[in-house]
Amino acid sequence: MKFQQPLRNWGGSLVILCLLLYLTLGANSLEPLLGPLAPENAPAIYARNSFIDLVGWHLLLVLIAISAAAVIAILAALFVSRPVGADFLPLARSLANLGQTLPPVAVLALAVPAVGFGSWPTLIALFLYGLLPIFENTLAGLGSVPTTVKDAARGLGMSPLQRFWQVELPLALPLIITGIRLSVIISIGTATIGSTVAAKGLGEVIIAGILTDNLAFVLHGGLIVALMAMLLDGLFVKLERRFATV
Amino acid sequence: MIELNNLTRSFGDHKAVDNLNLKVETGEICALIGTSGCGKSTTLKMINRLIEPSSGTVLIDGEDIRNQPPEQLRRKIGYAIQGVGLFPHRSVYENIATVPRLLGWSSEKIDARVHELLELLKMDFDSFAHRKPNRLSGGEQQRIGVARALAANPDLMLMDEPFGALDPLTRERLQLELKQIQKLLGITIILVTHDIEEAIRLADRIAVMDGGRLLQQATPEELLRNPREGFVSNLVGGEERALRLLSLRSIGDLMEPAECFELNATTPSIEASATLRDALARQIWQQSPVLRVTGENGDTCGAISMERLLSLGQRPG
Ligand SMILES: Nc1ncnc2c1ncn2[C@@H]1O[C@H](COP(=O)(O)OP(=O)(O)O)[C@@H](O)[C@H]1O
Ligand SMILES: [Mg+2]
Repeated sequence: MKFQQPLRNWGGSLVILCLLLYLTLGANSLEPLLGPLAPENAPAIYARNSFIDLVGWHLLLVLIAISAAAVIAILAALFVSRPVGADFLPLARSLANLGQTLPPVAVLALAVPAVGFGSWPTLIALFLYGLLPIFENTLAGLGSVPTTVKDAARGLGMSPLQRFWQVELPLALPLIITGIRLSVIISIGTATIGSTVAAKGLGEVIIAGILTDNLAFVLHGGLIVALMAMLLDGLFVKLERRFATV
Repeated sequence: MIELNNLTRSFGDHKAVDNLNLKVETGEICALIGTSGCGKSTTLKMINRLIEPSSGTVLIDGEDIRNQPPEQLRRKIGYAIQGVGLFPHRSVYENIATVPRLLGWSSEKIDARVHELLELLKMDFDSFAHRKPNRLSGGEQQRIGVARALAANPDLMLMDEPFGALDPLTRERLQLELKQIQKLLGITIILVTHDIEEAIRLADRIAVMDGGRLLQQATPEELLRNPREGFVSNLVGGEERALRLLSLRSIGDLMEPAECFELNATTPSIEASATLRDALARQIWQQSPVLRVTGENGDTCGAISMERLLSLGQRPG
Protein backbone atom coordinates (compact mmCIF):
# COMPACT_ATOMS: atom_id res chain seq x y z
CA MET A 1 0.00 0.00 0.00
CA LYS A 2 2.72 2.41 1.04
CA PHE A 3 4.63 1.98 -2.19
CA GLN A 4 1.65 1.65 -4.47
CA GLN A 5 0.09 4.97 -3.54
CA PRO A 6 2.88 7.27 -2.40
CA LEU A 7 0.82 10.39 -3.16
CA ARG A 8 -1.91 9.28 -0.76
CA ASN A 9 0.34 8.95 2.27
CA TRP A 10 1.14 11.70 4.70
CA GLY A 11 4.57 12.21 3.14
CA GLY A 12 3.05 12.55 -0.32
CA SER A 13 0.38 14.93 0.92
CA LEU A 14 3.03 17.08 2.58
CA VAL A 15 5.04 17.32 -0.64
CA ILE A 16 1.90 18.24 -2.59
CA LEU A 17 0.98 20.84 0.02
CA CYS A 18 4.43 22.44 -0.15
CA LEU A 19 4.27 22.59 -3.95
CA LEU A 20 0.81 24.09 -3.74
CA LEU A 21 1.93 26.75 -1.27
CA TYR A 22 4.91 27.56 -3.44
CA LEU A 23 2.79 27.94 -6.60
CA THR A 24 0.33 30.23 -4.83
CA LEU A 25 2.21 32.22 -2.18
CA GLY A 26 5.46 32.26 -4.07
CA ALA A 27 3.88 32.86 -7.47
CA ASN A 28 6.06 35.89 -8.26
CA SER A 29 9.29 34.00 -7.85
CA LEU A 30 8.14 31.67 -10.66
CA GLU A 31 8.55 34.45 -13.21
CA PRO A 32 11.91 33.29 -14.61
CA LEU A 33 10.61 29.73 -14.92
CA LEU A 34 7.31 30.55 -16.65
CA GLY A 35 8.57 33.61 -18.56
CA PRO A 36 9.63 31.69 -21.68
CA LEU A 37 6.08 30.29 -22.00
CA ALA A 38 4.42 33.69 -22.07
CA PRO A 39 4.11 35.67 -25.35
CA GLU A 40 6.45 38.67 -25.77
CA ASN A 41 5.72 41.62 -23.59
CA ALA A 42 2.98 39.70 -21.76
CA PRO A 43 3.20 38.99 -18.01
CA ALA A 44 4.12 35.43 -17.06
CA ILE A 45 2.23 35.60 -13.77
CA TYR A 46 -1.50 36.29 -13.57
CA ALA A 47 -2.02 39.35 -11.41
CA ARG A 48 -5.69 40.39 -11.53
CA ASN A 49 -6.40 38.46 -8.33
CA SER A 50 -4.01 36.98 -5.82
CA PHE A 51 -3.59 33.23 -6.18
CA ILE A 52 -4.41 32.60 -2.58
CA ASP A 53 -7.77 34.34 -3.05
CA LEU A 54 -8.44 32.32 -6.18
CA VAL A 55 -7.66 29.06 -4.39
CA GLY A 56 -9.94 30.16 -1.56
CA TRP A 57 -12.82 30.97 -3.88
CA HIS A 58 -12.33 27.80 -5.82
CA LEU A 59 -12.41 25.63 -2.72
CA LEU A 60 -15.35 27.53 -1.29
CA LEU A 61 -17.42 26.88 -4.41
CA VAL A 62 -16.60 23.18 -4.26
CA LEU A 63 -17.20 23.03 -0.53
CA ILE A 64 -20.64 24.64 -0.73
CA ALA A 65 -21.80 22.69 -3.77
CA ILE A 66 -20.58 19.30 -2.56
CA SER A 67 -21.84 19.81 1.01
CA ALA A 68 -25.29 20.48 -0.39
CA ALA A 69 -25.00 17.54 -2.79
CA ALA A 70 -23.83 15.27 0.04
CA VAL A 71 -26.74 16.18 2.31
CA ILE A 72 -29.31 15.67 -0.43
CA ALA A 73 -27.74 12.54 -1.90
CA ILE A 74 -27.21 10.83 1.46
CA LEU A 75 -30.73 11.63 2.65
CA ALA A 76 -32.17 10.42 -0.66
CA ALA A 77 -30.16 7.20 -0.49
CA LEU A 78 -31.26 6.63 3.11
CA PHE A 79 -34.86 7.17 2.18
CA VAL A 80 -34.90 4.82 -0.78
CA SER A 81 -33.04 2.15 1.19
CA ARG A 82 -35.81 2.02 3.84
CA PRO A 83 -38.87 -0.13 3.12
CA VAL A 84 -41.12 2.96 2.88
CA GLY A 85 -38.95 4.57 0.21
CA ALA A 86 -38.06 1.50 -1.81
CA ASP A 87 -40.58 2.42 -4.53
CA PHE A 88 -38.73 5.66 -5.16
CA LEU A 89 -35.38 4.04 -5.90
CA PRO A 90 -35.74 4.07 -9.72
CA LEU A 91 -36.92 7.69 -9.69
CA ALA A 92 -34.10 8.89 -7.43
CA ARG A 93 -31.59 6.97 -9.49
CA SER A 94 -32.67 8.52 -12.77
CA LEU A 95 -32.67 12.01 -11.26
CA ALA A 96 -29.14 11.54 -9.97
CA ASN A 97 -28.11 10.15 -13.35
CA LEU A 98 -29.65 13.10 -15.12
CA GLY A 99 -27.44 15.48 -13.13
CA GLN A 100 -24.44 13.51 -14.28
CA THR A 101 -25.37 13.23 -17.97
CA LEU A 102 -26.08 16.92 -18.54
CA PRO A 103 -22.75 18.44 -19.59
CA PRO A 104 -21.70 21.09 -17.04
CA VAL A 105 -21.35 23.61 -19.85
CA ALA A 106 -24.98 23.07 -20.76
CA VAL A 107 -25.99 23.52 -17.13
CA LEU A 108 -24.10 26.82 -17.04
CA ALA A 109 -25.75 27.96 -20.27
CA LEU A 110 -29.17 27.08 -18.91
CA ALA A 111 -28.56 28.54 -15.49
CA VAL A 112 -27.26 31.96 -16.53
CA PRO A 113 -30.61 33.22 -17.88
CA ALA A 114 -32.27 32.01 -14.71
CA VAL A 115 -29.86 33.15 -11.99
CA GLY A 116 -27.51 35.52 -13.83
CA PHE A 117 -23.72 35.61 -14.04
CA GLY A 118 -21.52 34.94 -11.03
CA SER A 119 -21.12 31.97 -8.73
CA TRP A 120 -24.65 30.60 -8.82
CA PRO A 121 -24.54 28.83 -12.20
CA THR A 122 -21.32 27.08 -11.17
CA LEU A 123 -22.73 26.08 -7.80
CA ILE A 124 -25.74 24.55 -9.53
CA ALA A 125 -23.61 22.66 -12.03
CA LEU A 126 -21.26 21.33 -9.35
CA PHE A 127 -24.18 20.38 -7.14
CA LEU A 128 -25.91 18.41 -9.90
CA TYR A 129 -22.67 16.81 -10.92
CA GLY A 130 -21.81 15.81 -7.38
CA LEU A 131 -25.06 14.03 -6.57
CA LEU A 132 -24.61 10.73 -8.40
CA PRO A 133 -21.34 9.43 -6.93
CA ILE A 134 -22.48 10.19 -3.38
CA PHE A 135 -25.95 8.75 -3.93
CA GLU A 136 -24.71 5.54 -5.51
CA ASN A 137 -21.94 5.03 -2.97
CA THR A 138 -24.24 5.61 -0.03
CA LEU A 139 -26.61 3.01 -1.46
CA ALA A 140 -23.73 0.62 -2.03
CA GLY A 141 -22.46 1.25 1.50
CA LEU A 142 -25.81 0.60 3.14
CA GLY A 143 -26.27 -2.44 0.89
CA SER A 144 -22.90 -3.82 1.92
CA VAL A 145 -23.95 -4.28 5.54
CA PRO A 146 -24.34 -8.07 5.87
CA THR A 147 -27.88 -9.34 6.44
CA THR A 148 -26.71 -11.40 9.41
CA VAL A 149 -25.37 -8.24 11.06
CA LYS A 150 -28.63 -6.38 10.50
CA ASP A 151 -30.64 -9.39 11.75
CA ALA A 152 -28.45 -9.63 14.82
CA ALA A 153 -28.90 -5.93 15.58
CA ARG A 154 -32.66 -6.31 15.34
CA GLY A 155 -32.71 -9.57 17.27
CA LEU A 156 -30.69 -8.11 20.13
CA GLY A 157 -33.28 -5.40 20.59
CA MET A 158 -31.81 -2.29 18.96
CA SER A 159 -34.40 0.27 17.93
CA PRO A 160 -34.48 1.38 14.27
CA LEU A 161 -32.55 4.55 15.14
CA GLN A 162 -29.98 2.67 17.17
CA ARG A 163 -29.51 0.21 14.32
CA PHE A 164 -28.98 3.06 11.92
CA TRP A 165 -26.53 5.12 14.00
CA GLN A 166 -24.67 2.29 15.67
CA VAL A 167 -24.55 -0.33 12.94
CA GLU A 168 -25.58 0.67 9.44
CA LEU A 169 -24.02 4.12 9.23
CA PRO A 170 -20.60 3.22 10.68
CA LEU A 171 -20.37 0.25 8.34
CA ALA A 172 -21.46 2.26 5.30
CA LEU A 173 -19.27 5.25 6.13
CA PRO A 174 -16.09 4.31 4.24
CA LEU A 175 -18.04 3.93 0.99
CA ILE A 176 -19.96 7.16 1.61
CA ILE A 177 -16.66 8.98 2.05
CA THR A 178 -15.42 7.44 -1.20
CA GLY A 179 -18.48 8.91 -2.93
CA ILE A 180 -17.78 12.34 -1.47
CA ARG A 181 -14.15 12.07 -2.51
CA LEU A 182 -15.10 11.30 -6.11
CA SER A 183 -17.51 14.23 -6.20
CA VAL A 184 -14.95 16.60 -4.74
CA ILE A 185 -12.26 15.56 -7.23
CA ILE A 186 -14.64 15.88 -10.17
CA SER A 187 -15.86 19.30 -9.11
CA ILE A 188 -12.39 20.73 -8.45
CA GLY A 189 -11.76 20.24 -12.16
CA THR A 190 -15.26 21.13 -13.29
CA ALA A 191 -15.29 24.38 -11.30
CA THR A 192 -12.68 25.86 -13.66
CA ILE A 193 -15.22 26.24 -16.46
CA GLY A 194 -17.37 28.29 -14.09
CA SER A 195 -15.08 31.20 -14.79
CA THR A 196 -16.62 31.46 -18.26
CA VAL A 197 -19.70 32.81 -16.54
CA ALA A 198 -17.79 34.94 -14.07
CA ALA A 199 -17.46 32.61 -11.09
CA LYS A 200 -14.31 33.43 -9.17
CA GLY A 201 -11.74 30.67 -9.10
CA LEU A 202 -8.65 29.31 -10.75
CA GLY A 203 -10.56 28.91 -13.99
CA GLU A 204 -10.07 32.60 -14.67
CA VAL A 205 -6.30 32.14 -14.84
CA ILE A 206 -6.61 29.30 -17.28
CA ILE A 207 -9.25 31.03 -19.39
CA ALA A 208 -7.27 34.27 -19.48
CA GLY A 209 -4.32 32.18 -20.67
CA ILE A 210 -6.36 30.58 -23.42
CA LEU A 211 -7.80 33.92 -24.57
CA THR A 212 -4.38 35.61 -24.78
CA ASP A 213 -2.41 32.59 -25.94
CA ASN A 214 -0.47 32.72 -22.68
CA LEU A 215 0.78 29.19 -21.97
CA ALA A 216 2.33 30.36 -18.71
CA PHE A 217 -1.11 31.21 -17.28
CA VAL A 218 -2.63 27.93 -18.48
CA LEU A 219 0.16 25.87 -17.01
CA HIS A 220 0.26 27.76 -13.72
CA GLY A 221 -3.51 27.62 -13.18
CA GLY A 222 -3.74 24.04 -14.33
CA LEU A 223 -0.98 22.88 -12.01
CA ILE A 224 -2.60 24.47 -8.98
CA VAL A 225 -5.95 22.84 -9.80
CA ALA A 226 -4.32 19.46 -10.27
CA LEU A 227 -2.38 19.74 -7.00
CA MET A 228 -5.54 20.72 -5.10
CA ALA A 229 -7.31 17.67 -6.47
CA MET A 230 -4.41 15.41 -5.51
CA LEU A 231 -4.15 16.85 -2.03
CA LEU A 232 -7.86 16.42 -1.32
CA ASP A 233 -7.84 12.94 -2.82
CA GLY A 234 -5.07 11.96 -0.41
CA LEU A 235 -6.83 13.48 2.59
CA PHE A 236 -10.11 11.74 1.80
CA VAL A 237 -8.38 8.41 1.29
CA LYS A 238 -6.90 8.76 4.77
CA LEU A 239 -10.34 9.50 6.12
CA GLU A 240 -11.72 6.38 4.44
CA ARG A 241 -8.98 4.28 5.98
CA ARG A 242 -9.63 5.83 9.35
CA PHE A 243 -13.24 4.64 9.23
CA ALA A 244 -12.60 1.30 7.55
CA THR A 245 -13.79 -1.56 9.74
CA VAL A 246 -11.25 -4.18 8.73
CA MET B 1 -42.44 -22.18 30.12
CA ILE B 2 -42.82 -21.22 26.48
CA GLU B 3 -46.08 -22.05 24.74
CA LEU B 4 -46.76 -21.71 21.05
CA ASN B 5 -50.49 -21.95 20.42
CA ASN B 6 -51.92 -22.55 16.95
CA LEU B 7 -49.10 -20.53 15.51
CA THR B 8 -49.41 -19.84 11.79
CA ARG B 9 -47.43 -17.59 9.50
CA SER B 10 -48.13 -17.18 5.80
CA PHE B 11 -45.99 -15.50 3.19
CA GLY B 12 -48.45 -14.81 0.40
CA ASP B 13 -50.31 -18.08 -0.19
CA HIS B 14 -47.55 -20.15 1.29
CA LYS B 15 -47.86 -21.23 4.90
CA ALA B 16 -44.30 -21.21 6.24
CA VAL B 17 -45.58 -22.28 9.67
CA ASP B 18 -48.90 -24.08 9.84
CA ASN B 19 -50.90 -24.28 13.06
CA LEU B 20 -47.96 -25.16 15.29
CA ASN B 21 -48.49 -26.13 18.93
CA LEU B 22 -45.44 -26.55 21.10
CA LYS B 23 -44.57 -26.36 24.80
CA VAL B 24 -41.05 -25.94 26.11
CA GLU B 25 -40.47 -26.40 29.82
CA THR B 26 -38.30 -24.00 31.78
CA GLY B 27 -34.68 -25.14 31.98
CA GLU B 28 -34.95 -27.47 28.99
CA ILE B 29 -33.24 -27.50 25.65
CA CYS B 30 -35.77 -28.00 22.88
CA ALA B 31 -34.43 -28.72 19.41
CA LEU B 32 -36.52 -27.75 16.40
CA ILE B 33 -35.41 -29.99 13.59
CA GLY B 34 -36.42 -30.42 9.96
CA THR B 35 -35.19 -29.93 6.42
CA SER B 36 -34.25 -26.54 5.05
CA GLY B 37 -37.28 -24.34 4.38
CA CYS B 38 -39.64 -26.20 6.71
CA GLY B 39 -40.29 -23.11 8.83
CA LYS B 40 -37.86 -23.52 11.74
CA SER B 41 -36.38 -20.03 11.55
CA THR B 42 -39.78 -18.48 11.03
CA THR B 43 -41.02 -20.22 14.17
CA LEU B 44 -38.04 -19.01 16.16
CA LYS B 45 -38.40 -15.45 14.91
CA MET B 46 -42.03 -15.36 15.99
CA ILE B 47 -40.86 -15.93 19.56
CA ASN B 48 -38.83 -12.70 19.67
CA ARG B 49 -41.20 -10.87 17.34
CA LEU B 50 -38.76 -10.53 14.46
CA ILE B 51 -41.70 -11.94 12.54
CA GLU B 52 -45.30 -11.42 13.60
CA PRO B 53 -47.57 -14.47 13.33
CA SER B 54 -50.52 -14.44 10.92
CA SER B 55 -52.50 -16.08 13.70
CA GLY B 56 -51.91 -17.82 17.01
CA THR B 57 -50.13 -16.75 20.17
CA VAL B 58 -46.82 -17.14 21.95
CA LEU B 59 -46.84 -17.19 25.74
CA ILE B 60 -43.74 -16.89 27.89
CA ASP B 61 -44.47 -17.91 31.48
CA GLY B 62 -48.13 -17.48 30.71
CA GLU B 63 -47.82 -13.95 29.36
CA ASP B 64 -48.59 -13.07 25.78
CA ILE B 65 -45.46 -11.63 24.17
CA ARG B 66 -47.55 -9.05 22.34
CA ASN B 67 -48.01 -7.27 25.66
CA GLN B 68 -44.44 -5.98 25.44
CA PRO B 69 -42.80 -3.68 22.90
CA PRO B 70 -40.68 -5.86 20.59
CA GLU B 71 -37.37 -4.19 21.48
CA GLN B 72 -37.92 -4.65 25.18
CA LEU B 73 -38.86 -8.30 24.65
CA ARG B 74 -35.79 -8.99 22.49
CA ARG B 75 -33.41 -7.54 25.09
CA LYS B 76 -34.68 -10.15 27.53
CA ILE B 77 -34.25 -13.05 25.13
CA GLY B 78 -30.80 -14.23 24.02
CA TYR B 79 -30.46 -14.59 20.26
CA ALA B 80 -27.67 -16.40 18.41
CA ILE B 81 -27.71 -17.15 14.70
CA GLN B 82 -25.78 -19.19 12.19
CA GLY B 83 -24.04 -16.31 10.49
CA VAL B 84 -23.19 -15.06 14.01
CA GLY B 85 -23.57 -11.48 12.78
CA LEU B 86 -20.98 -9.98 15.12
CA PHE B 87 -20.66 -6.23 14.56
CA PRO B 88 -17.49 -6.01 12.46
CA HIS B 89 -16.67 -2.46 13.55
CA ARG B 90 -16.84 -3.29 17.23
CA SER B 91 -14.42 -5.18 19.44
CA VAL B 92 -15.25 -8.46 21.12
CA TYR B 93 -15.81 -6.49 24.32
CA GLU B 94 -18.24 -4.07 22.72
CA ASN B 95 -20.06 -6.87 20.91
CA ILE B 96 -20.66 -8.70 24.18
CA ALA B 97 -21.69 -5.46 25.87
CA THR B 98 -24.38 -4.71 23.28
CA VAL B 99 -27.51 -5.69 25.20
CA PRO B 100 -26.27 -4.56 28.65
CA ARG B 101 -25.62 -1.14 27.10
CA LEU B 102 -29.06 -1.07 25.56
CA LEU B 103 -30.40 -1.85 29.02
CA GLY B 104 -28.39 0.97 30.54
CA TRP B 105 -26.14 -1.05 32.84
CA SER B 106 -23.32 0.81 34.59
CA SER B 107 -19.90 0.43 33.04
CA GLU B 108 -18.56 -1.41 36.11
CA LYS B 109 -21.34 -3.94 35.89
CA ILE B 110 -20.78 -4.38 32.14
CA ASP B 111 -17.05 -4.78 32.67
CA ALA B 112 -17.56 -7.46 35.30
CA ARG B 113 -20.04 -9.28 33.08
CA VAL B 114 -17.75 -9.31 30.04
CA HIS B 115 -14.93 -10.71 32.17
CA GLU B 116 -17.25 -13.35 33.56
CA LEU B 117 -18.55 -14.44 30.17
CA LEU B 118 -15.15 -14.68 28.55
CA GLU B 119 -14.05 -16.82 31.47
CA LEU B 120 -17.14 -19.00 31.12
CA LEU B 121 -16.27 -19.54 27.45
CA LYS B 122 -12.63 -20.21 28.30
CA MET B 123 -11.31 -17.22 26.39
CA ASP B 124 -8.53 -15.10 27.79
CA PHE B 125 -9.72 -11.53 28.42
CA ASP B 126 -6.43 -9.83 27.63
CA SER B 127 -5.89 -11.56 24.33
CA PHE B 128 -9.48 -11.45 23.05
CA ALA B 129 -11.45 -8.56 24.51
CA HIS B 130 -10.07 -5.87 22.24
CA ARG B 131 -9.89 -7.81 19.01
CA LYS B 132 -12.18 -7.07 16.10
CA PRO B 133 -14.29 -10.04 14.93
CA ASN B 134 -12.34 -10.43 11.69
CA ARG B 135 -9.34 -11.48 13.77
CA LEU B 136 -11.18 -14.44 15.32
CA SER B 137 -11.49 -18.00 14.03
CA GLY B 138 -14.92 -19.37 13.12
CA GLY B 139 -15.24 -21.19 16.44
CA GLU B 140 -14.17 -18.11 18.42
CA GLN B 141 -16.73 -15.99 16.58
CA GLN B 142 -19.44 -18.51 17.46
CA ARG B 143 -18.39 -18.40 21.10
CA ILE B 144 -18.56 -14.61 21.13
CA GLY B 145 -21.96 -14.83 19.45
CA VAL B 146 -23.12 -17.05 22.31
CA ALA B 147 -21.52 -14.73 24.89
CA ARG B 148 -23.30 -11.75 23.35
CA ALA B 149 -26.60 -13.61 23.50
CA LEU B 150 -26.00 -14.52 27.16
CA ALA B 151 -24.76 -11.10 28.21
CA ALA B 152 -27.86 -9.76 29.93
CA ASN B 153 -28.64 -13.00 31.79
CA PRO B 154 -31.61 -14.04 29.68
CA ASP B 155 -33.83 -16.84 30.94
CA LEU B 156 -34.52 -17.88 27.38
CA MET B 157 -32.11 -18.27 24.47
CA LEU B 158 -33.07 -18.70 20.85
CA MET B 159 -30.36 -20.26 18.72
CA ASP B 160 -30.70 -20.62 14.96
CA GLU B 161 -28.23 -23.20 13.66
CA PRO B 162 -25.53 -21.65 15.82
CA PHE B 163 -22.87 -24.22 15.01
CA GLY B 164 -23.77 -24.72 11.36
CA ALA B 165 -20.61 -23.48 9.72
CA LEU B 166 -18.04 -25.19 11.95
CA ASP B 167 -15.81 -28.19 11.44
CA PRO B 168 -17.11 -31.32 13.23
CA LEU B 169 -14.55 -31.24 16.06
CA THR B 170 -15.10 -27.59 16.96
CA ARG B 171 -18.84 -28.08 16.64
CA GLU B 172 -18.84 -30.99 19.06
CA ARG B 173 -16.72 -29.08 21.56
CA LEU B 174 -18.99 -26.05 21.44
CA GLN B 175 -22.05 -28.26 21.79
CA LEU B 176 -20.66 -29.77 24.95
CA GLU B 177 -19.74 -26.34 26.31
CA LEU B 178 -23.20 -25.04 25.54
CA LYS B 179 -24.80 -27.95 27.33
CA GLN B 180 -22.61 -27.34 30.41
CA ILE B 181 -23.37 -23.64 30.42
CA GLN B 182 -27.06 -24.28 30.01
CA LYS B 183 -27.09 -26.69 32.96
CA LEU B 184 -25.02 -24.27 35.02
CA LEU B 185 -27.25 -21.28 34.37
CA GLY B 186 -30.51 -23.20 34.19
CA ILE B 187 -31.69 -21.33 31.13
CA THR B 188 -34.23 -22.49 28.57
CA ILE B 189 -32.95 -22.91 25.04
CA ILE B 190 -34.84 -23.32 21.80
CA LEU B 191 -32.36 -24.50 19.24
CA VAL B 192 -32.94 -24.77 15.51
CA THR B 193 -30.91 -27.40 13.70
CA HIS B 194 -31.06 -29.67 10.70
CA ASP B 195 -28.59 -32.09 12.24
CA ILE B 196 -30.19 -35.01 14.10
CA GLU B 197 -26.91 -35.83 15.86
CA GLU B 198 -26.81 -32.31 17.25
CA ALA B 199 -30.41 -32.54 18.37
CA ILE B 200 -29.82 -35.88 20.10
CA ARG B 201 -26.64 -34.69 21.74
CA LEU B 202 -28.07 -31.47 23.11
CA ALA B 203 -31.80 -31.57 23.45
CA ASP B 204 -34.06 -32.69 26.27
CA ARG B 205 -36.91 -32.69 23.76
CA ILE B 206 -36.90 -32.74 20.00
CA ALA B 207 -39.64 -31.24 17.87
CA VAL B 208 -39.64 -32.49 14.28
CA MET B 209 -41.10 -30.16 11.66
CA ASP B 210 -41.92 -30.69 8.03
CA GLY B 211 -43.66 -28.33 5.64
CA GLY B 212 -44.48 -25.87 8.43
CA ARG B 213 -46.16 -28.51 10.59
CA LEU B 214 -45.06 -30.19 13.78
CA LEU B 215 -44.87 -33.93 13.16
CA GLN B 216 -43.69 -35.20 16.53
CA GLN B 217 -42.36 -33.87 19.78
CA ALA B 218 -40.56 -36.28 22.08
CA THR B 219 -37.47 -36.92 24.14
CA PRO B 220 -34.50 -38.14 22.08
CA GLU B 221 -35.01 -41.66 23.41
CA GLU B 222 -38.71 -41.77 22.58
CA LEU B 223 -38.04 -40.34 19.16
CA LEU B 224 -35.45 -43.01 18.43
CA ARG B 225 -37.58 -45.83 19.81
CA ASN B 226 -40.93 -44.82 18.40
CA PRO B 227 -40.53 -42.41 15.53
CA ARG B 228 -43.66 -41.69 13.57
CA GLU B 229 -43.77 -43.48 10.25
CA GLY B 230 -42.47 -41.58 7.28
CA PHE B 231 -40.52 -38.37 7.66
CA VAL B 232 -39.57 -38.77 11.30
CA SER B 233 -38.39 -42.34 11.02
CA ASN B 234 -36.34 -41.44 7.95
CA LEU B 235 -34.86 -38.54 9.88
CA VAL B 236 -33.75 -40.59 12.86
CA GLY B 237 -32.20 -43.10 10.51
CA GLY B 238 -32.75 -46.79 9.90
CA GLU B 239 -30.04 -49.00 11.28
CA GLU B 240 -28.05 -46.15 12.73
CA ARG B 241 -30.78 -45.66 15.29
CA ALA B 242 -29.23 -48.51 17.26
CA LEU B 243 -25.99 -46.61 17.76
CA ARG B 244 -27.80 -43.34 18.41
CA LEU B 245 -29.87 -45.01 21.10
CA LEU B 246 -26.75 -46.38 22.75
CA SER B 247 -25.17 -42.93 22.67
CA LEU B 248 -28.02 -41.53 24.77
CA ARG B 249 -27.34 -43.55 27.90
CA SER B 250 -24.44 -43.72 30.25
CA ILE B 251 -22.92 -47.02 31.30
CA GLY B 252 -23.38 -46.31 34.99
CA ASP B 253 -27.16 -46.57 34.69
CA LEU B 254 -27.22 -49.94 32.96
CA MET B 255 -24.13 -51.86 34.02
CA GLU B 256 -24.21 -55.31 35.57
CA PRO B 257 -22.64 -56.43 38.85
CA ALA B 258 -18.94 -57.14 38.48
CA GLU B 259 -19.36 -60.53 40.20
CA CYS B 260 -21.31 -61.93 37.23
CA PHE B 261 -18.17 -61.99 35.13
CA GLU B 262 -14.69 -63.32 35.49
CA LEU B 263 -12.75 -60.05 35.31
CA ASN B 264 -8.98 -60.20 35.43
CA ALA B 265 -6.07 -57.78 35.22
CA THR B 266 -6.13 -57.72 31.41
CA THR B 267 -9.85 -56.88 31.08
CA PRO B 268 -10.08 -53.41 29.50
CA SER B 269 -11.94 -50.82 31.58
CA ILE B 270 -14.16 -47.82 30.89
CA GLU B 271 -15.53 -45.01 33.07
CA ALA B 272 -19.11 -45.26 34.29
CA SER B 273 -19.87 -41.81 32.86
CA ALA B 274 -19.13 -42.88 29.26
CA THR B 275 -22.00 -43.80 26.94
CA LEU B 276 -23.06 -47.27 25.90
CA ARG B 277 -21.88 -46.41 22.39
CA ASP B 278 -18.40 -45.73 23.73
CA ALA B 279 -18.50 -49.09 25.51
CA LEU B 280 -19.44 -50.98 22.36
CA ALA B 281 -16.73 -49.20 20.39
CA ARG B 282 -14.14 -50.17 22.98
CA GLN B 283 -15.29 -53.79 23.05
CA ILE B 284 -14.93 -54.04 19.30
CA TRP B 285 -11.59 -52.26 19.26
CA GLN B 286 -10.11 -54.26 22.13
CA GLN B 287 -11.77 -57.53 21.04
CA SER B 288 -13.15 -57.96 24.51
CA PRO B 289 -16.76 -59.07 25.07
CA VAL B 290 -16.73 -57.66 28.63
CA LEU B 291 -15.47 -54.37 30.05
CA ARG B 292 -14.68 -53.46 33.61
CA VAL B 293 -16.60 -50.31 34.64
CA THR B 294 -14.77 -47.87 36.88
CA GLY B 295 -16.12 -45.09 39.05
CA GLU B 296 -14.70 -41.62 39.47
CA ASN B 297 -12.04 -42.83 41.89
CA GLY B 298 -10.92 -45.56 39.51
CA ASP B 299 -12.35 -48.47 41.53
CA THR B 300 -14.27 -51.20 39.79
CA CYS B 301 -17.99 -50.65 40.27
CA GLY B 302 -19.47 -53.03 37.73
CA ALA B 303 -19.12 -54.60 34.32
CA ILE B 304 -20.80 -54.36 30.95
CA SER B 305 -21.08 -57.13 28.40
CA MET B 306 -21.49 -56.95 24.66
CA GLU B 307 -24.51 -59.21 24.94
CA ARG B 308 -26.25 -56.64 27.08
CA LEU B 309 -25.34 -53.79 24.76
CA LEU B 310 -26.70 -55.67 21.79
CA SER B 311 -30.02 -56.21 23.51
CA LEU B 312 -30.23 -52.57 24.65
CA GLY B 313 -29.74 -51.33 21.10
CA GLN B 314 -32.31 -53.70 19.64
CA ARG B 315 -35.17 -52.65 17.49
CA PRO B 316 -38.22 -52.27 19.72
CA GLY B 317 -41.15 -54.65 19.48
N1 LIG C 1 -39.56 -12.94 4.67
C1 LIG C 1 -40.03 -13.95 3.92
N2 LIG C 1 -40.77 -13.71 2.81
C2 LIG C 1 -41.25 -14.72 2.05
N3 LIG C 1 -41.04 -16.01 2.31
C3 LIG C 1 -40.33 -16.33 3.39
C4 LIG C 1 -39.78 -15.33 4.25
N4 LIG C 1 -39.09 -15.93 5.25
C5 LIG C 1 -39.22 -17.26 5.02
N5 LIG C 1 -39.96 -17.51 3.92
C6 LIG C 1 -40.32 -18.84 3.38
O1 LIG C 1 -40.86 -19.59 4.43
C7 LIG C 1 -40.40 -20.92 4.39
C8 LIG C 1 -39.75 -21.29 5.71
O2 LIG C 1 -38.55 -20.53 5.87
P1 LIG C 1 -37.62 -20.68 7.14
O3 LIG C 1 -38.42 -20.55 8.36
O4 LIG C 1 -36.49 -19.72 6.99
O5 LIG C 1 -37.09 -22.17 6.96
P2 LIG C 1 -35.96 -22.96 7.76
O6 LIG C 1 -35.38 -22.07 8.79
O7 LIG C 1 -36.63 -24.15 8.31
O8 LIG C 1 -34.94 -23.35 6.73
C9 LIG C 1 -39.47 -21.01 3.21
O9 LIG C 1 -40.19 -21.57 2.14
C10 LIG C 1 -39.10 -19.60 2.92
O10 LIG C 1 -38.86 -19.41 1.55
MG1 LIG D 1 -33.40 -21.28 8.89
